[in-house]
Amino acid sequence: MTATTDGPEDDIRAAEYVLRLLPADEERAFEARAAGDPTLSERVTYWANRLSGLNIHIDPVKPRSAVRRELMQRLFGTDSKPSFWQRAGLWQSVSFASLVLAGFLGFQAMQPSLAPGLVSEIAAEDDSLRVLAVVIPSTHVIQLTRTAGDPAPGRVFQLWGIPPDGSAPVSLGVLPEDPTASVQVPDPLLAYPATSLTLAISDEPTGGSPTGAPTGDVLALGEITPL
Amino acid sequence: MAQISEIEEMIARVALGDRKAFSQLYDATSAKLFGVILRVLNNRASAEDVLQESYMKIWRHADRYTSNGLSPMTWLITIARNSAIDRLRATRDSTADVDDMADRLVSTGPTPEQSAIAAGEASRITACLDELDTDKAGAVRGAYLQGLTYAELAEIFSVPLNTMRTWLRRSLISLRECMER
Repeated sequence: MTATTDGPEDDIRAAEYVLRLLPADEERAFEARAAGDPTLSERVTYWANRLSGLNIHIDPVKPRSAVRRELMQRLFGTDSKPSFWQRAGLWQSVSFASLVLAGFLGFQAMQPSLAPGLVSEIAAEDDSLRVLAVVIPSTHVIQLTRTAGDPAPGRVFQLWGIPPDGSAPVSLGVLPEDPTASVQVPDPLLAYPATSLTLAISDEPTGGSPTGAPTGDVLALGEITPL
Repeated sequence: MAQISEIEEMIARVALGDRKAFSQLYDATSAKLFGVILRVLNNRASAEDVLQESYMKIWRHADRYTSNGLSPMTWLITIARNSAIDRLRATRDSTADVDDMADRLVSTGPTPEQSAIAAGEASRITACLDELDTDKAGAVRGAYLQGLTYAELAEIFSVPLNTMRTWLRRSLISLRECMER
């Protein structure tokens, strides 16, 4: 493709290039031309700098902390010491669905006669705490994998089941330090269909809530849904 | 947000392979870049991926920054915005250009004029857009902030494709005249 003389002047072409308005083939042709033409590439810089003023109207949005961890992992990989959190970062790079599937298939391998599973992602709004729960209906066991967040010093995470009818939350126990755990669904909650329950994690003193009801902030919530 | 000179300093250290500087640069600028990418992609999962991709390019091409004549935030935002637009077009059709974004920033030496521009450019472009008709200013914003094509803009503003091209080119000429005043 040769440079056109009947199109817009080069300077406006440079602006269109910066705006990404040129079709892919013209974009490449323009790039090739600008690479060998300092005057033209100066116009690209001119427009890029001027138009970038429009970004002032874009509000910053803080990305999830997992995005940063995963980036560092992707770039610097095994050079730094492989801590649990880096491995957790790897887990987070896997989509939620495949994580669920992996967990489900793992259980299925162990329990061939398993009924269809139920899952819940108990997550804080900003993803600072994230726990994946796989519910095994046949045994009333919930298998938990914490993929983000750890408790404040001297505090613990406590898991609760919240019934749909407004009754008080029922404790499912304090989460151990270990990122994986399994808990038994207590009898009072078996009265409700599993998918009607909400799972919640609260911040509690060591040993768990002294009152039997959540005393600290509720940090994360998750609905239970069929797999 | 860090000062322009601090960001410039971080990019310079990143160019030397300083990982700590890279972490600091990420912390200082990722929220802005994520905002820019989200405006184009409007999908959190893709935007997170493109954000990582952008910083990988920044890590690899930081050495080109000093010679490209763009203000530091403009350089970072250009990489993020172009990566987001490429993702947008790649998911829409298969003809998108996947060339490295840093390569789009053609090398030119910085001039004193360009260095002086950085501070005033935000208010100037805004004031100059305000001189255009609302629709025409909207089309320029849509192209820059959302990566919209002529065809998409024509559809949004319900005008024929060629009319949109003429509109936008005239708007750019008016903008240039205004900014040169």
